[in-house]
Amino acid sequence: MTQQGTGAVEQPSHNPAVELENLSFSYRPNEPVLAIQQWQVAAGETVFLKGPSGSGKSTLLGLIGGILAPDSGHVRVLGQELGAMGRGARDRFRAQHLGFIFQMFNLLPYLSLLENITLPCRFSKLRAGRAGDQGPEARALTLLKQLGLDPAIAARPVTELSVGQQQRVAAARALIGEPELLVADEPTSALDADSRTQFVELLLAQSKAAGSAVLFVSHDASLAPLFDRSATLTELNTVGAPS
Amino acid sequence: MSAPGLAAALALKSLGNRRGTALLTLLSITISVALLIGVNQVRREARSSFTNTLSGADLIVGARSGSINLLLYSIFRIGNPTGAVSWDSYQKISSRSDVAWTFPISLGDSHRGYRVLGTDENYFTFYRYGGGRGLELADGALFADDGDAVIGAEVAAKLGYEVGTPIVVSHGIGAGSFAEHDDNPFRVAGILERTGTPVDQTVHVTLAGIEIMHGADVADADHEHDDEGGEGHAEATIEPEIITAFVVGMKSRAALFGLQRIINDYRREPLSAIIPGVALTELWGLVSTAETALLVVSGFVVVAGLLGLLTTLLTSMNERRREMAVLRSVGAGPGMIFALLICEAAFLALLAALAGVALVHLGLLLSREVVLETFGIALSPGLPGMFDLLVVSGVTLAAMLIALVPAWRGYRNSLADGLTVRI
Repeated sequence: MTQQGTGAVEQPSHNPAVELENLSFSYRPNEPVLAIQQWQVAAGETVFLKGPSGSGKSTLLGLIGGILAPDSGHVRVLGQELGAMGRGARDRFRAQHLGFIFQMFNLLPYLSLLENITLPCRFSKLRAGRAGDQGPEARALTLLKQLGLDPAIAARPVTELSVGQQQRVAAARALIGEPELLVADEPTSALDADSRTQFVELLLAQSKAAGSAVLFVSHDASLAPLFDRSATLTELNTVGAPS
Repeated sequence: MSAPGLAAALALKSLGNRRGTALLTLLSITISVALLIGVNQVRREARSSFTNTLSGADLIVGARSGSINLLLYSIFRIGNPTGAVSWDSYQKISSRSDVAWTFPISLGDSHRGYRVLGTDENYFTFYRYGGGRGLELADGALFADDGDAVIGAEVAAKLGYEVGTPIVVSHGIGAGSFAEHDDNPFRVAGILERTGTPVDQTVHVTLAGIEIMHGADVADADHEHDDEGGEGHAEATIEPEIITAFVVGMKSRAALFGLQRIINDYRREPLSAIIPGVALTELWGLVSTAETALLVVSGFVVVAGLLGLLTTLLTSMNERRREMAVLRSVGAGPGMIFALLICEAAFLALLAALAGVALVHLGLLLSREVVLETFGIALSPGLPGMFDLLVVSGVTLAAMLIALVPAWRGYRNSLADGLTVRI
């Protein structure tokens, strides 16, 4: 992947990490699924977004991730107007500046653990560069340690990892190369209650260290106090959750 | 890393991870490609082997029959003679002023499954194969008297014969013929160098040797010979009454068609004179339909193999939606997902096709001996040629074309799914 020119020279800005304005999106004409007047995630801010299924959560993440383009209104990520970019440019932008963690099945079974973590660095030179002078692999091992995993597990096939281990590896992948925005889509729902808090605490500590803003989507409200701020998607989305 | 490079690298790893199913798909394509290449290779080898068997001869003359039949039984020892040529006619034609040389061929007996061919010294002087090479002795000498036999390399090797070994000839062909001419054993006088032609599987004796042997037979009254040869046996003359066929070399090829017409219109007995090259062309015309049919069938087997690849790729598409979403999340565009799937198909097909080519050429190398013995076809251990290259690139290209279907589906899926990991 080629590096996006504007992203490479951009200093850590004071632009909000995410900025939504008069946003509206529909998959089929006249059936809007998401409409948000005004919402922001500040740079470096950690936000808990409570989003039950059916609230338009996947759509919102698709819009912020640059997979979808809004019908009208603005989606600005790090001050960049995603709607103004072409699809290829949005893919590159995502590679450069965003890290994702999913609910489960985050890892590619055919890549080694370290290859999984360093995958974003293969899509983005910017993130490979930010991973440090020692190279992405060394950075990956450090991240593993910081996320409470024994770096020795790097030798194991990813399919043999427990769900908890997999999620931490996924977190390491999302964090490598210090993306400005980290999006987590119910990453703890497959974990048991004890390890949930621990996982979120580790994730937040590392994202603070990387200076990344965090948008954490979950329906487990007990995690909300760990974040700077929390919001509820059903309240933001003026279309409202379909029954 | 460039996007195509990354897609290729990921495709390789992904294939490696699914090596179970990938290997099965690969195997089916490998076998189909090997079949196609094998059929073509054997076809080509058979042709060149036939073409190389006799060169420098202008006419083959035998009893009136189809030209392919005459060519097959006189030179390739395939099938049985349909008639005979009188010694008288042979003498008349060979003494013509426009004829440079002739040698007679007298068939009908065998030694332990190998044909016995009665001829004279001209055979060893004028027989040419492989584009002009002559016969060479590996050991011993040519005929010194009528009890001498000169055997082909294969006969010597398989039966373990050396110069001086006595051999007994059976009437008729086949390993266990009933009547053996064991009163008049021959002696191995010479062993020929290997030629890769039916000469290797032939026991050569003199025409007189055959006559003496048959004369002794008649005295024993053990069995009866052909009606045509019946009278000759009683006298056991040195000159034969009949021979099976003869080969003619002309002084000038300009007179070739004239002589051919004269022989074909010969008054005293019905004869056929054929030009070996023309007869071979006729033979290829005859078998080309079968060859084409085989090639077409093999081609369809390759198509079936490729459809197997399509099935494998398509069935994997659903379980790979998660993988696609993960790739999308780290920055892969839908185009990359497309490229990844095309690359997988291309790698698999390329590897399978190369394995198929290797399989055939290795197989031919290993089976040379058996094929030479069984069919008398000398397989040259040639390197993969243009056809192989064409098949390998064709199969790879076809696989990439076929992979457009799953790739398009993957592209669409990744657009629709986006970052949603569907389970």
